[in-house]
Amino acid sequence: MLTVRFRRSTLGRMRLSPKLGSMAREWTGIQQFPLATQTKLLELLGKLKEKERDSLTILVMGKGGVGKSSTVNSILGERAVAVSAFQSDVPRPVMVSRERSGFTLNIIDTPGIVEGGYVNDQALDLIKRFLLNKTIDVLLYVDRLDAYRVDNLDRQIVKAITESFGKEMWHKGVVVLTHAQLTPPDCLSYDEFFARRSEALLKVVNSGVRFKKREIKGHSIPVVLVENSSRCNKNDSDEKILPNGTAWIPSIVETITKVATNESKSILVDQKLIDGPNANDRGKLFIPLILAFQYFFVVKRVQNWIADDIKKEPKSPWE
Amino acid sequence: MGSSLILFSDDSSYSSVGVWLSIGALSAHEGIIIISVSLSGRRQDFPSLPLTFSLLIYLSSFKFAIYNGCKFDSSIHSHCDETAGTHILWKQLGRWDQSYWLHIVIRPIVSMASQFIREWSGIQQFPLATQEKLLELLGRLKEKKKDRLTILVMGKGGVGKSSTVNSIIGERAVTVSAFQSEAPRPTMVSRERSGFTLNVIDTPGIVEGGYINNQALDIIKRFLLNKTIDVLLYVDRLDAYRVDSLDGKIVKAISNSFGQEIWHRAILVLTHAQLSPPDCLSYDEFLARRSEALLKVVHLGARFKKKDIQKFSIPVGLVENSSRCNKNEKDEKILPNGTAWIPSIVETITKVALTESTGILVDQKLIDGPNPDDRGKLFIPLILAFQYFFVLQPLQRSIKNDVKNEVKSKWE
Repeated sequence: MLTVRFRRSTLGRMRLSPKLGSMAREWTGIQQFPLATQTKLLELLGKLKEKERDSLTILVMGKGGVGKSSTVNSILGERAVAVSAFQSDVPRPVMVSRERSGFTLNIIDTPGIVEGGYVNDQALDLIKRFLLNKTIDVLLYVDRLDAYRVDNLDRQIVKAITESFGKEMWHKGVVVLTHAQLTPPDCLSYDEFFARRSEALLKVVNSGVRFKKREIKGHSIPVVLVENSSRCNKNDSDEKILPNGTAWIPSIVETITKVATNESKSILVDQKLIDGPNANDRGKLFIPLILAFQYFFVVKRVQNWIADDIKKEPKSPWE
Repeated sequence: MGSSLILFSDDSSYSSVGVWLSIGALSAHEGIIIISVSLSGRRQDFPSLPLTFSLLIYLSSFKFAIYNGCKFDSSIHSHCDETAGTHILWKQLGRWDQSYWLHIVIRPIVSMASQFIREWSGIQQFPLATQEKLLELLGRLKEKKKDRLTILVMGKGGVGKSSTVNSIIGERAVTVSAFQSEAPRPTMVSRERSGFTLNVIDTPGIVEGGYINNQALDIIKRFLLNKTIDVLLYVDRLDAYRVDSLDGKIVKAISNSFGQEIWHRAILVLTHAQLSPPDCLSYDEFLARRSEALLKVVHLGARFKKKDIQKFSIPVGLVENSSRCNKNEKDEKILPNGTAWIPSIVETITKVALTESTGILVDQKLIDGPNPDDRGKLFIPLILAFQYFFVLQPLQRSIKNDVKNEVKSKWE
């Protein structure tokens, strides 16, 4: 039995045959988590409802092949999004909605915005159109923990996201590092490797978003670890754990909750945000000043010079 | 080009040390500095001998190596031993009669430096079973009269090229860093064992931030000038899940730089081989699909025709460079499917090296590529003939006809 729940914002884009994914199903996946994880998740949902929030929209973005769809599936506890080890990502963004005791969780999985060394503007456009008039509470920027280089391409991705959705999106951002169950390279401990990897990635994010120094101190973007493989190690309560012992599913949901309820506002993706600031407004205030300058310092002077020249002109004999 | 010729006339004064210091500072940024030392044969120049030796010591502190100019003096044993850094070519100017004692002093130094190819001591730290297999493979190579092997390692950045080189050599010959960019220059590591010389050339990643780094490619080409490559190791990660046009671009860049024939002597090396495959795929299945996807891109980029694919099938080698690699009872590093990978990859390298007699000589012609002026040269006479018979003649004829048919005006 499907409980169909229409939020006011969905009425605007309701079509005759709504896709199945946009109807909020019961969050059954939560039951296949081990008991300890379930308890913590329900506790976090309760906290959100205390703060008068009954829905949460999470946007998942990143390069291709890093584990976005797998992370979505892990959080929901079911195979909501198709994952393939070798094919390209989902061609279009997909929103998966699940409902639990009055609380709705929406997760938007997007295609990777990097294609063959370039930012895929087409994919970015699709995402922007999909997100029109939705409100994003949390942005999950996904990358792999076991990558060893951070380069200009990462900066370009961050810039593209910033240009599309604005700087404020990153105040609701969480960096997610997948493949967290890795054996670090020799001579580095797991925590050291994690620290350096997140430092390198955050540096690139901060430089791509062009955060000023005080902004970075005020809102430091949290970093969480995720291990989506079924071979993930488990503790005695049968929860999936990271090599440093933390159960990561409650941990990431807790970080998401914290970010969703921090003082920054959720981002409404409207046409104005997508179009960006109106280029015609730029420097509008200078126009009267420039006009005044031109009148007093240029036009008047030239007129005076012309009048002077007329006066000084010697009269020719035939006048 | 990055090479500068500096003529230095030694007058055994200490002011020349200042000249050398500035040259040394410059050379840190330049590619190759050819320093020609012309010394007059006068006996009183003997005090410049300490200068020369102090210069050698000073330069070695900058990690310069003495590069033996093989083509300038073939009497010196043609070995090239280069470590990281700038190469200095000692060149003797032709005034043999006057710089007679230069031969006495410099040549022994140079030949000593050139023969200083280190012993492949790393082989001893392998477990016994691995050592035996490696020595057997070396023996096989020597039977076929191959006493040196040059391996070129190329690929994107951060995939494990330097780690693979270190694993094969058995020591930390190349610096590996998990987070810094790679060394901007290629390095050649040479090791010698019972008459057999192994040269492994480690290169910087040729992809930088989504683009082919043409500068790095140029540096590699210049480094490889006049070297012969026996085997190309194209390195990528096993645990990557996407193959995209960037990989195709890398393959094309390698083909454009060194010719398509290099792919006939190539091995696809997949690092991080000790991975737990994603759910619902077994290790062998995952490996098969990953190598299939990569080989497809390589065949496309190298423009292999169907018969080439069958004839020159590129073997795949698996590598796990972490010290946490699983080991079998004989203490050899093994892959998740049980194979000991160090002997396995050296065997693949041996097989590829023995398929054809000579390796690929990277000469200036290969690097420059085919001369574009030669393209379609044969068509020129045909086009000229066509123009003459089918354009020029008809035009002339129709002009003549017009002249004939012209109505004469009255005033003529």
